[in-house]
Amino acid sequence: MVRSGVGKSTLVDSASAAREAIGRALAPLAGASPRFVWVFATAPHDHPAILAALREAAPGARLAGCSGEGVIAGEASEEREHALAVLAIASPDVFFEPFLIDGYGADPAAAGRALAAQVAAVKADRPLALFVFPDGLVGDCTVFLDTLAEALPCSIPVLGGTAGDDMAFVRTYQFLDERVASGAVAAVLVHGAARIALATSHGCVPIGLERHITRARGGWLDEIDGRAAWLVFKDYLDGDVDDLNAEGVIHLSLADDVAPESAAAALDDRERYVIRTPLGLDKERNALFFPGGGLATGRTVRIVRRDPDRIRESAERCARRILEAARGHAPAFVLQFDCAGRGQVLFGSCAADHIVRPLRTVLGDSVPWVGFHTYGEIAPVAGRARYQNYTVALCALFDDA
Amino acid sequence: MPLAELERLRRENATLDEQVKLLVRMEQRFHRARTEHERELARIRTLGDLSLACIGVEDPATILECAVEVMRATFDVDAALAICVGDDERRPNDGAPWVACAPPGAWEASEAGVDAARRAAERAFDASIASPAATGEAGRAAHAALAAALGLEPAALVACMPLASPSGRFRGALVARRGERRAAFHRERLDPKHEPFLMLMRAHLERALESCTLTRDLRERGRELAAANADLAASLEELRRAQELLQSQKLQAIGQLAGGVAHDFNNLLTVILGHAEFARMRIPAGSPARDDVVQVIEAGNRAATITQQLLAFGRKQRLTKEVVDLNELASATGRMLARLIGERIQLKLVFQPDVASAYCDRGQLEQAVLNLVVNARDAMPNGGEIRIVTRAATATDVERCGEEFDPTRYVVLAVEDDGVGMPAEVRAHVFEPFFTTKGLASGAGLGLAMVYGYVKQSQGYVSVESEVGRGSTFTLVLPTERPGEGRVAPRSNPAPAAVGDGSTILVVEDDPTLRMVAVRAIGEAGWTVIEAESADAALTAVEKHGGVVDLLVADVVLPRADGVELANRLRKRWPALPVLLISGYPPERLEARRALAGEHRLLAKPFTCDQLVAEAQALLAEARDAREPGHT
Ligand SMILES: Nc1ncnc2c1ncn2[C@@H]1O[C@H](COP(=O)(O)OP(=O)(O)OP(=O)(O)O)[C@@H](O)[C@H]1O
Ligand SMILES: [Mg+2]
Repeated sequence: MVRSGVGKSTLVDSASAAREAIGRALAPLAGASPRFVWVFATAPHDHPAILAALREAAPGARLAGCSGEGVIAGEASEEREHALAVLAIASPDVFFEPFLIDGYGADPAAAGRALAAQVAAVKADRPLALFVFPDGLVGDCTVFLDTLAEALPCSIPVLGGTAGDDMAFVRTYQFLDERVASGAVAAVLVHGAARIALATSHGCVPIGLERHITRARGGWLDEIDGRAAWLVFKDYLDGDVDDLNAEGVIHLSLADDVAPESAAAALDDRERYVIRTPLGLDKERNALFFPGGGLATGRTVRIVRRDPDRIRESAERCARRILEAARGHAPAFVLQFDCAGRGQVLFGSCAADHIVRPLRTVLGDSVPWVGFHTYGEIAPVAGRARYQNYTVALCALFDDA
Repeated sequence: MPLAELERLRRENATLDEQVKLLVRMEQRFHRARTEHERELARIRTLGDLSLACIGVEDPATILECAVEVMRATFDVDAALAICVGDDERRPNDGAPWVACAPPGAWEASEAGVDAARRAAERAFDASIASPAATGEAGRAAHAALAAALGLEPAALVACMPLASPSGRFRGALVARRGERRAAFHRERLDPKHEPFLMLMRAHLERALESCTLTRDLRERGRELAAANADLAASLEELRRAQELLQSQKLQAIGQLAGGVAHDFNNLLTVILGHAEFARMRIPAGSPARDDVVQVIEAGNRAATITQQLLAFGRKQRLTKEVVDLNELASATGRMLARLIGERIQLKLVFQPDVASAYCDRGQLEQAVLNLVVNARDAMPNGGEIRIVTRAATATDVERCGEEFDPTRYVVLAVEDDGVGMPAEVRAHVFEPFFTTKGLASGAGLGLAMVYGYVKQSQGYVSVESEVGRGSTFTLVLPTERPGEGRVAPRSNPAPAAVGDGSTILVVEDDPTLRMVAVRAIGEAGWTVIEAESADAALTAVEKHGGVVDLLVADVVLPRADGVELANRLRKRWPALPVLLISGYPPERLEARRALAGEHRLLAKPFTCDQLVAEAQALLAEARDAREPGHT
């Protein structure tokens, strides 16, 4: 049986925050020692201090996770300077194998292969899912995911999110036990006697006609349909906008049509499009930077607008799909990787009411629940793990017992 | 498809695309407006909450806590700090300012501490700058200087607003900063457009801090007032007690005086009445002189009643305590009084059926009730109702009597009327002897004096309540039967000895006139009299007479050895010797002696010759019965 408990803290002092959070997380375990602890913390925290304090409180547990723009714990979404969320798990027959692959930023393909090799070495009987948390500021995530998929010994769902910082876009962190790295990938292989259900949703609405990328290089999108990419965006922006921080920009993204041409017509938006959000602007060239790679010349894209009502609706639907997959069982725990742009930026101080509460209402108000606000969500769409933005990736683990 | 048709569709598509763009832009505008509106509302709400939360707050720290929470809830702020330094009248206990920080500890954890923030704010206050406020180059420079003083990058300083006291002095500050690395989005960025809100918030804060000083002052003033009030009440109470004490001392002094005078009067009256008696006996019936003498005797008897009342007031009455059933006493007295009070006045008996018995002198109590009922009657010239009430004593009685006693050991007999009542000036004097409002002809002013003296002597308490036009209530609080004291066995009434049966009676009295009266009365009754003026003389006289005495009649108060002592000495020789003690008043000495000497019959002065003879006769008969049982 899987026992798990969640704990969060918004204390400023990192060690105190860690003690407070783990104290709460351990309480529901009723004395059982945790085997594994998920750790998500905001970037300004002192991460070595957090990991040391967690290690002290849970000596036998492996620790893994990353920094996020904010953390999700229980029913709360905390996007503030100092926030920490942990989920402690005690389970005799579900196993958590964490990895930390350095050099992702420099060579994502190599990182993908290295991770696949380490996963293979585990020789898991029943691999359930591979969670990956690459650095959110460096590295071509699409290359990493593609290489990883090819190199993995068997097909298992890959999901997770890229690590974030506090919207400063300076540095993100990946954790394994007491190690803290940057430019790396933290990963966790979950295997054993359990079932996993996952779902994603974005809630964006395509507008206008299909368009084609006519010039792109190294993540920079220069032209769409032969026109400067930023000018194409600006057609849809109110007022004289001249940087990406403008409020209107958060309503606009690009949808990458990932469906095979034969199937496209039969798929709904969720299955067909992966949302991508620009994070950089070159005002000289009017070019936009999209982290995560994959937006190559020739791809079919559409402009999408974000629809707050649809975000909630489609997230609820996605939670219901998980519930169906579980045939009514309550999850042992749920992981939520939600876009940094879908929190306070969109919903203000009551973000949790829109992005966490509706999901918990469907899946259970008392289910241990943890996650973070990512710079990019990773989940399978159209048969492959893909890097995406402005999305929620939800994963529930169900006890086999 | 013809080319023209294709061209038309393309144009149509382009138009539609433009419309979509327009709609999307409008949606953004709408969203922006809505967000702005929501934020504005939220800000106003927070300000309202802040004001509400500060009402009646005495501690500045509480207000500061509210303020930093508002800052954090409203703006993109990572840490907010509020400081309040004391004003001239009020300082924090340890001299350090009041401080609130959200999240707790965040400011101390930053490079520049609370102290630096305070100093920077004070300098900003002196230079009349605040941030955000000033615009333009100068404003930016001031902001940068403020940030530097706080140890922050200019971008990290969100707000620094010094607070002023009503007298225009530096009162504290509200400071907020944002994580230096946090660059975009999130909560509302504070910018110059928020200046009016911040100014409003500052004003609220200053008022709240001021009102918290006022609240504290008010509460303190209130506490002082309450204390002063309590002091006042205490001194009033003290005064009242002192007055009560003085009043009772006064009554006691008057009582002593009256008692002393009455005592002398008594002796005189005894002489007057005695001689008048003899005179009456000598003067043949029908003689006009006899009527005169009878007049003298009647006037003497009235005077005797007055002296009795005075003696009672002076607490010098000889009391025979017994268990008295108040309900029975009151109804018996009531029957007797019905005639006295006339037809226009109803007498109502309000009894508690199982009321405890009192332990007191029954006859005197009857007299007291009589006095009270007569007063009540006098107070109701147009008729009304008099109520005689019996009940258990309560705490209220304790309070009304102004003395301390255990109400469970007392019973109440009260006389209520709804007559004219008394003003306070009258009420204060009613118990004084000779105080009367009835005019010399009808009132002696001794009725209540008797009641007072009697109840006091009975170890009880009296209180009076009265209101002009509403009536009066006199409450007698009497001790109940004390456990162990038991009931006094009713005396059997033996057959009186025949007058002049040849017995010898020893009369000892130091007052020669009184002695003469007694000796004459006894002699005329036919007994042999031996007389003496002191105990020693008495013993000598007895020896001289051959040592045969059948009855001792002695004044209690004698020079040197008193009457009781003499009785005891004689009883050593004749243990069965009956003794009749004559007493003006029963001083404690007598009570004490009596405990040693056993029960002596007492005859109170002034007595008539008939009374003396009757007592002597009864005692001699008792003694004879004791010697020869079954004689009757
Ligand atoms: N029930 C009463 N109602 C109103 N006044 C009363 C009452 N009882 C007594 N007083 C007042 O108290 C005074 C004193 O009463 P107290 O019985 O001592 O004397 P008195 O009635 O005047 O004379 P005495 O009783 O000696 O004939 C009265 O003169 C009267 O003014
Ligand atoms: Mg009277």
